[in-house]
Amino acid sequence: MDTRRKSNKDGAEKPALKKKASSIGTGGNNGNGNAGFAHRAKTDLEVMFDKYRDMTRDADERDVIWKKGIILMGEDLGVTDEVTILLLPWKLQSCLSWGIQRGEWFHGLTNAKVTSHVKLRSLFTQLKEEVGGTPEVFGEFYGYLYDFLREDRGKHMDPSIAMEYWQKLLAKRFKYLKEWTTYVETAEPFKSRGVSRDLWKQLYEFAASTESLAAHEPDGPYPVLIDDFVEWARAKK
Amino acid sequence: MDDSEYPEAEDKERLEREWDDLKTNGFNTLLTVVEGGYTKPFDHTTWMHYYTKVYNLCTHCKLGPGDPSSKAPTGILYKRFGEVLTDYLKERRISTAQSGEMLLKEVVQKWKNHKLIVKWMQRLFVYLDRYYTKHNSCDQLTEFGLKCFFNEIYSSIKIDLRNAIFKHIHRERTGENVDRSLLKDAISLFVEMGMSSLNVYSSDFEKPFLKFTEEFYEREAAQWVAEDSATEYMKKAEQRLAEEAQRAAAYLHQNSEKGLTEAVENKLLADHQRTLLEMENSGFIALLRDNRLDDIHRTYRLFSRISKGIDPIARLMYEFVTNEGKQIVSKHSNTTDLCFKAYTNDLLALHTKYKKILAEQLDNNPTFQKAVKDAFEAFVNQQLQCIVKGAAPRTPPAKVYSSELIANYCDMLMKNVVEKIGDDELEDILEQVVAVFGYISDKDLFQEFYRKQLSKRLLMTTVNEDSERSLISKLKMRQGAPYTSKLEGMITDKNVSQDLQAKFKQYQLDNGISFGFDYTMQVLTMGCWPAFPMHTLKLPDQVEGAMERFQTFYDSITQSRKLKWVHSLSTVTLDALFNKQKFQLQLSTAFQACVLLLFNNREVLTGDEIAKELTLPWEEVKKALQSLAMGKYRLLLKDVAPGAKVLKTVDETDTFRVNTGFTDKSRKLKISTVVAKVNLKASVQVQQTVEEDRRHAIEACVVRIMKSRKTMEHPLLIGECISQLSNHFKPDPRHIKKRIEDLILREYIERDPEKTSLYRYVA
Repeated sequence: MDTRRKSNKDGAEKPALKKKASSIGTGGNNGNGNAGFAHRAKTDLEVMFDKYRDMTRDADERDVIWKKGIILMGEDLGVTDEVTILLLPWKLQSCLSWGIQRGEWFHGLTNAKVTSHVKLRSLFTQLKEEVGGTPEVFGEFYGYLYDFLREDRGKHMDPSIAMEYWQKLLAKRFKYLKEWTTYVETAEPFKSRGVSRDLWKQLYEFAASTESLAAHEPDGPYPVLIDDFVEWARAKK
Repeated sequence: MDDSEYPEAEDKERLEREWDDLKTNGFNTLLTVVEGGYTKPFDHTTWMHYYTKVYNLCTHCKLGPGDPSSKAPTGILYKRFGEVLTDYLKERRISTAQSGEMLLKEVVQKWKNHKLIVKWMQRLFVYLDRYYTKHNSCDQLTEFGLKCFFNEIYSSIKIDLRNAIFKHIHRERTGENVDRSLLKDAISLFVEMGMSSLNVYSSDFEKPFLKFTEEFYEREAAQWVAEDSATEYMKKAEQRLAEEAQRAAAYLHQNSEKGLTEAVENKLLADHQRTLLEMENSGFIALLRDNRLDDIHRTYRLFSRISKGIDPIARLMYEFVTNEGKQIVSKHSNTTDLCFKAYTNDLLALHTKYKKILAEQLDNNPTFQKAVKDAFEAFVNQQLQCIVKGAAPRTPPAKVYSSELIANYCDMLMKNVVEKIGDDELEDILEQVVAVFGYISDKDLFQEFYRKQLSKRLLMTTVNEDSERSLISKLKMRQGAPYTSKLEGMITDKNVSQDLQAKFKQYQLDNGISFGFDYTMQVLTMGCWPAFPMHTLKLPDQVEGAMERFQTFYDSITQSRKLKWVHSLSTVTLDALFNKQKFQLQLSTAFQACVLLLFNNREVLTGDEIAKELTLPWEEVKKALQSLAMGKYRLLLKDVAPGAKVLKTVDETDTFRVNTGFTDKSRKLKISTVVAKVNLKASVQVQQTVEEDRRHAIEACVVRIMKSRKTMEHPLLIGECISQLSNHFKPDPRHIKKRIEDLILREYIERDPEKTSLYRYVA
């Protein structure tokens, strides 16, 4: 949670914020709906943030664009692909699951020189190119997504969520995606436990570097579950 | 001869005159005498005469005796010396048409003669040696003389001579007798032809001889291989090697022995090694199979001569012993009633057998020791399958490991010690057991089983402390102190408890306490002993009082120690009155006693009520009630609740009352507990405990390694982990990987973001 906002409620840090008001635009419209400051035209960013954040929530959570808002934003921007919309939180390095906080929004977008609706749209195109370019960058994006998509239930990610996104993210990058999907659906360990961060990340490494099942070494550094998968897949053939 | 060569005509004339005399009277006489067979041609006076002649010739010349010019008499004499010898030799050319033996004899004879002639000539002309040869770097007279032989005779007959010698040797090798001294002389000719070096011998005789020998033995070996068994072959080979060694000593130059032996070994042994070892009925495996100790010894002796000779043999031994071991394992596996005694006895017998062979036939050679060790390790760690008698059909057979079986064997030994086995015999058996124990890879499993059994022995039965300590000290020697520290702790505890007991009695007397019943306590150090289930038991007041008293006493003699009571291990003796008859009941658990005592105050109780009164879980109460109401002695009567099914076992709703009509012939009754049907449950439990311990051990090991190295590659980490834990058990790399993943999750270590196979320690 953004601690600055907390102290904002107490009113202690208002002057500092106010100073930055003109550049960031957090000016008069803070979370408390206190409109006691100078009225000036809202910037595009402000407008968008206000449009997508969830006002129905409690005070703590109002300054965040949650899942609904993100999806809505995607639709508005013409970004229909579920994966592409995720590029934004990655770029902004959002730390909440399915949530973009106020600070992250303004800070990140300003740094990216995005000040308007149109520029935001082109940002997506740019990010898409970046990520599609090298495997390393995609790997970073992919790795980041574990925490974003997790929905914070316990230590591990729900296998069904993992499966959904593996389909979307690794469709063209993982030769054995189909077998892997079957494996995850049927194998024991996934029924009782979720997908750990290590497994999530290592799966991409595995996908990127494994040419064939036969070449895989069981005593390598990959997690045991991947070894089990290879064994299972080999047996099936 | 030119007049101008001589300073004076007189001298020249004199020279010729004297020379003539020397030649005719001196040399020719010498020749005749020597060839006639005498060794001393001249007596002292004659010799002096000729010597003086030479001397005079040399010194009366105007030129100095050392003058190198050909005008000096010394030079002339020197030359003529050589000429005379050469001439006579020319006349005595040796015909090569002769047969071998004749040739040898002739050569030898001529050589001997020549040596003698040269010797005497040298004596006559020794003046030249002193003044001429030295200053003009010519050969000394002896050498010069011998060289004449070399040039005139030797060079032309050397090959024939050599072949003749070979023929002779061949005859000897094929069994005939030959004149060895003749051969020796003939061969020494070669040596002497080299003057002071062995070059002539080496190139003209030795090398061809070795080749000749190799060819011979190549043929021999081929023939033997086709006809003989391996043992026959080796006997022959051994014989031949001895023969050749003797031959070398008899007539070859001493330097040749080594080369000769090597050549023979190569042809007889090295070339055919594989064939010999793998021969069907006489190869090494067959020898082991039929326990032919002499042949085994011979094989070892012979093949240890050649380099890398014993490696293939060791390999065969490894295979054979492994097979025998595997047979033992499969013989006992998959049987009902897997008898640990028979199995262990078989193992020990196999071990003793091979230890003996190693010591007696194989000279305790390290290569073989390793082969046997590897073989044992290969099969001792296999799983055996035990079919449980009376288990439901289609239950998979239980898996048992050698560690458990050997632990059971030790248990049996310790228990039987008092009765059957003598001290020395026991020591011997224990040595063997510990040796076989050394081959087990999951030693921690053995320790766990042993610990459980030891605790039972210490607590329930009497124990022969000497034999226990003996076995423990042997284990300690093998594994180190930490392995046996818990075991030793347990024995110490028992002794300490006895002390404590005495002290407690004293304390009671001192403080005038008495309980009205006998009470003994044993204090066990937690951690040494295996985990016991703890129960809260409501004991009768008197007993609780005693417990409190003991607690006070114990606190008074120790500091900051906490006592936890383990009631499941207690035994109780009660006096009971049934039907006006007094009985003494020996109960196996305190639970049984407490159940019975409840009925002192109550007529009837249900199972449920009993459990509540005693604050015990139903499982325990059930066991106790079963032994009291449905065992051999029915002390309690069971009534089933109305409407409930009658079961073979006991139910919570059943009611119990005292069997007032109980009677029995004997007055002392032992009430045992219900024995668990399947002992395998306990074994599985132990295996689980050990599994858990291993998990912790692996984790601790990984963290330790990472902490000191900071970063490490995956395969190195696994390898390091395995080697550090090898003393206790052999971890599966998969398990290590699982632990690593767990540690990553708990953020003890992390993966390097650049390189998947590199781990980092997280501080």
